[in-house]
Amino acid sequence: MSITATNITKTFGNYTALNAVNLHVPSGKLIALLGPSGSGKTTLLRIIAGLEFADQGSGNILFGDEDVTNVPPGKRGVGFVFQHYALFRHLSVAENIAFGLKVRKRAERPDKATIAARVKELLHLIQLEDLGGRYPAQLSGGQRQRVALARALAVQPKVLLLDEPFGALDAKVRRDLRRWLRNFHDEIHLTTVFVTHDQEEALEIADEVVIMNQARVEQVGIPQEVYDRPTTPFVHKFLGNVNQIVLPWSGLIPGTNVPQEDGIAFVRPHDIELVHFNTGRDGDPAQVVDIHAAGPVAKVAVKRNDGKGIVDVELSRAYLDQIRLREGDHVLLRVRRPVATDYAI
Amino acid sequence: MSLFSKQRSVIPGFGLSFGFTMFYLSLIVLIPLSAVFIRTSGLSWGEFWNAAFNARELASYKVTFLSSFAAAGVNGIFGTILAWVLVRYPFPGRRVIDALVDLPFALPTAVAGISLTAIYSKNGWIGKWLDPEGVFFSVNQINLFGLKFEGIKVAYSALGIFVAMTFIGLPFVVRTLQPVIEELEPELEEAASTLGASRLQALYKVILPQLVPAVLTGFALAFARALGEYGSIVFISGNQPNKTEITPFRIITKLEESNAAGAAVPYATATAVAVVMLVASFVLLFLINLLQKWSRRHQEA
Amino acid sequence: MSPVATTITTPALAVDNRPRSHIHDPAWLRWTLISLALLFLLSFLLLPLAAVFAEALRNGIKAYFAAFEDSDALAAIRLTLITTAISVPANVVFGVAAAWAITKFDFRGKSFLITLIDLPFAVSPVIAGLIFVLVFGRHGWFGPGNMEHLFAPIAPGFKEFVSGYGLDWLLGPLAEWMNEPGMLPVLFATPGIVLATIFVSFPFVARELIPLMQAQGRDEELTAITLGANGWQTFWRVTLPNIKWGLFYGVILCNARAMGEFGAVSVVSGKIRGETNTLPLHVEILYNEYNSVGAFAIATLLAMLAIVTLIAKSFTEWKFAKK
Repeated sequence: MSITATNITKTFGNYTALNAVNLHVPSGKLIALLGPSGSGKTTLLRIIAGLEFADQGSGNILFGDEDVTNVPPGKRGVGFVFQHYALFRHLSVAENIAFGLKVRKRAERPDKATIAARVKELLHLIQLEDLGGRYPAQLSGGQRQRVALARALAVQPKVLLLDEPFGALDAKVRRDLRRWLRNFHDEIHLTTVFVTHDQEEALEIADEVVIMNQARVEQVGIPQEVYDRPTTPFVHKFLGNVNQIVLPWSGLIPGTNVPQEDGIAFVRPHDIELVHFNTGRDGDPAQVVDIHAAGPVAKVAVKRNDGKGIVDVELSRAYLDQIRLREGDHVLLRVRRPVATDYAI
Repeated sequence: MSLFSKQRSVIPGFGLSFGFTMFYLSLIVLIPLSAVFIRTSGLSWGEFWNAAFNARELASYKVTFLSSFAAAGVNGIFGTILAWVLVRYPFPGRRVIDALVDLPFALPTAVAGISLTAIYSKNGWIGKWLDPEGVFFSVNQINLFGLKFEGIKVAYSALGIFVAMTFIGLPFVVRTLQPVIEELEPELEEAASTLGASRLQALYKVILPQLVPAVLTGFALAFARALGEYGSIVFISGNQPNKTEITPFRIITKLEESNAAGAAVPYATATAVAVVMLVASFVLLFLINLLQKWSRRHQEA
Repeated sequence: MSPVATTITTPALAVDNRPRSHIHDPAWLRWTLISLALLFLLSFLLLPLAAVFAEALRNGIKAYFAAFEDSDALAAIRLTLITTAISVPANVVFGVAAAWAITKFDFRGKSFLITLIDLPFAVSPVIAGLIFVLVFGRHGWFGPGNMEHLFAPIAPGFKEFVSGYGLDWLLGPLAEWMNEPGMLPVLFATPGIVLATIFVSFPFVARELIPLMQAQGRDEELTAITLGANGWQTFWRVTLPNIKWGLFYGVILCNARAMGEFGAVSVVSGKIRGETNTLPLHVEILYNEYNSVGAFAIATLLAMLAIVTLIAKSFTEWKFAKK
């Protein structure tokens, strides 16, 4: 089921959490709401869930064609997973998962056997078949996360909403679990929105990334698109490392659109080519000041000869060894490909 | 926005729970408490002054405030030691002692009152060694550097009031201090020792200053509790006019007098004294709140 | 949050087993402070507790048990139990409702409301009794035989107000009801004792639950609601199991205060033997009649209540610490 949020504004006193935000989530997709803290992403998620309300008179929320703006969260058909899971600590894993079914009105409540079967099925789905009798306190963080997910899925929601699903986990579990979530989504194809502040996470698993900043949506697109062609300086800086190169700079190549002489070009470190000065090719003259060569990618800091700052360049170790780069070497810098966008600041 | 206006929420039950809370609070606390002030307002300024600040009332304020202050002070010192010992020094029976600290909260005040009286009267466990008419001083006299010492009367004297107030105030200081001592960072003491301070210097110059706000808070809480205390004091004080009548006792006496006499504004002489007490309590409560804020800031810094 | 209440109801922290600094106080200092602390505790706390039992048994075990054969003593026990059985549940309902309103919702004036809840801790018990005398006593707002005084101090135009709305028919029966001697015996009767007891013991449950529920947040309730639970289901199945130990703790303290209250009850009770005497009041009466053994014998019941309270309190803290 698709989700459409139109013109959503939310203020807390004098603070604006969301400013006329629009969002469309196509049916069956896995969407990331990405942004720094305070960008409004969690508030947007909670408004979609019905846990919070947009300001009076501001827009509405549609699930498919149905306007759910005034539908209470319990009747919206959302599965919501909190950042810290909010598992009921006095209930076992199985009881947690069965909760949503057990609280239904008698007429709508499945019988005990059906509930038990559904719980078993979900335990299988989250790969915790044997842990139904455990209590939340006896589980690891990753297991808790999956139980929270199963509990949300038990009521067969139309959409799944996850608030910072990996935020409380350590790095290794985080990586495993996000791959698991991607595969899981590919199996069940439930429209899913998750909130994250980790750009790597968003880019790795989402079908589409919605980048938010200061109560607004900055850019929406598939991961490669938003990474390669950021449409705003914020997105550029937020997604990966970027050099802010003061123009004019002779490292730009033809095809790059340079509207202003005194602008700033945003160039990612791995998009810069570096050769020794004596090759005599085109490029901006500069001098190597620092080389960090631990790991597969070498990070080289280069000082521009025109004194307009330092440029970070990322090179493969193989290339670095091949050209035998040393600190103090004179080099030429040139972008690898036309800079897609640049901004005058 | 007006007072008590609420943000929209998906959790149900605000109307019911808030409504019931306000109803109960009004019925049990606000309306009855306002009666004290409304009833007193029926008095003229002169009548109020006569009722609340005549010599006998002034004597009761004096003995109540001074004893409360002294008791809170003793609790401030020993409560600090007790809290420190309970948090920092493991010794057998510590858990039991820790539980026992709450005894004054749990023991009904009347029981504490008669028990303290029994202990400190001239035949009591402690009284017989202290009281001028006890087994010791009735036959002995201590002569110290030419000063004759004939024993001290605890029960039925201001000292008895002080003893009872010390009893009921003790938990406040200990319970305020314990969490603060728990949260003290060992790094500070370690830093002091690496800088060459002796352990006593570290205690005195590093730890004690950090505890000051909490000690003052505990002191103020014990003081406030002692001011209003009745049950544990009324037995041991002896209630001699102008000497050992505490203010709550005066309120009760005036209430009974006024009930009998049929005054113009019934009970108003009692409520006048109650107003003085209430104002003192509220001022204290306000000070304690300020102290706590200071204490919290102190802890965070 | 009011400090008074926090101090009374905050569970003492369990014995801390975190690794501490290697710095230790010198033994002489340690033992001096321990001895001072224990001496102080012994003389000020343990001695009074022990004296209760010693005085009660002064004339032997027979005299001790004889004290309970008195019908007035039994009446006092009964009245104390009745009072507690009404006021503790009432305060539990209030405490839960207040904590729910305060912790699950955002509204203006919240800290003001918390201060109001703490108010009884700052008020002398004698004044707590006095206020109910003012409301229900002679010339009180709801006092017997004083219809003229009803609402008079606050709304002189009350009668005009009532008749303005065509409610004159209410005034007659209301006045009759109020004027009927013995119709609404609040003061010097069980209702007054219950009200005064509720006043002095009502913050305990609320004060225990508010910080606990604040710390637990709202996510579990919100989860239950997104899963389709209604308000009562959310409360009974999610909130209540989470707060049960805190609630128990509050009930213990509330119960101890309710059973042991002296000052407030002594003002409103009228101290009619066998009728309006609670246990602490009965202790006072016996004591004032120079029946020391009897007074202390009854007092041992209350002392045992205190001991049970302390044990239950420690047990709950231990439970808390385990969680």
